[in-house]
Amino acid sequence: VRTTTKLAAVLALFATVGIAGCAKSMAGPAVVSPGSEPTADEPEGLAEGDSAAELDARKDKLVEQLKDVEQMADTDPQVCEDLCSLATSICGMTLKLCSIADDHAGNDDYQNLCREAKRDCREAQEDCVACAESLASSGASATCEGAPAEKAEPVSSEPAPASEPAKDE
Amino acid sequence: VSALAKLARRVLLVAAVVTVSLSASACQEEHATTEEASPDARLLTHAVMDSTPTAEGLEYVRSVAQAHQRADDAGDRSAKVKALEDGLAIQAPANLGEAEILRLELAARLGETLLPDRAREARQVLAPMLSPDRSLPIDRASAQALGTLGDAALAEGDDALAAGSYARAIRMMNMLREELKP
Repeated sequence: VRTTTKLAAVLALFATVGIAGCAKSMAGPAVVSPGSEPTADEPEGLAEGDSAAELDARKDKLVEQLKDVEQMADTDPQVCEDLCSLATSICGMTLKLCSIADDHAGNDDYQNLCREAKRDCREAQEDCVACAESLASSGASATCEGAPAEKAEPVSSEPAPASEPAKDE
Repeated sequence: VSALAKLARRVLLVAAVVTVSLSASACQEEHATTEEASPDARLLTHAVMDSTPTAEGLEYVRSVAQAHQRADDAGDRSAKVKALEDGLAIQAPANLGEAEILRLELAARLGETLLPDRAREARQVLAPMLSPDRSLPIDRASAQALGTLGDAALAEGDDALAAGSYARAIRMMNMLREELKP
């Protein structure tokens, strides 16, 4: 989803630049003379020019705009909800997996899977919290704030797991 | 007499050696059969590409949606199971990549409906679709089906399959998480 959003943003920016350039060339050269007052037929604002340095400056500006668009996509409430829902499911399954591993204390395969799952659970919860904080700071409605387990359904058919993150050993 | 006694002693000695050897062999065999299985957490994956819309594909999607609707409307569990089984029995058209995901969703829901008392049936539905040798689509449906298979295996006391399925489900969800991460 994020990749698509970014792609759409890039395309939108290129399209905007393209349309602006096209409109500009159709309307003929428009030059803003320094010191002159713009008339109704003249463009307002600063002349951007076509030199390498000016094109570079324009590119940098577009890159900045793209970053803004990316930031907006990153703080999409739906992304946070999905991240938190996944965190809940991952941690729920971690509890089940490690419960089984407890019955096979001498088997390294079970223990390694449990350890790996606990790490994944912790990272998933950190991502969820970071996303919610980013949402809150951007002023968007934070629909996935709070404990992940309270917001999302577990993937499995069993009752929702506890919201406590699995503790690493 | 002495020769006979010697012979008898040798026979007894050989018999004793054979008995000890057989016992040791039987003991080793027993030890081998009680060695516990380890979880298989291999996860092969692939991305599902959007397919070109066709009338056949659309019809399949509609039929699956109707199966889910019938399951929603079902008054009892057996009717729900029947609706979902019918949905799974629908032949998916070729070149419809999304069908794989729809089938996994149906199978996961069927498994959840069968659990906990019909865990063996749930496992029989899910295990072949989710074999570690098979590549699974990177989708929430795969994770959900793996989780349900884990539950079915756990209900049946197959800890290796349960742990392997949960671990694979977690790995699948990690992949989904990485796709979402800013």
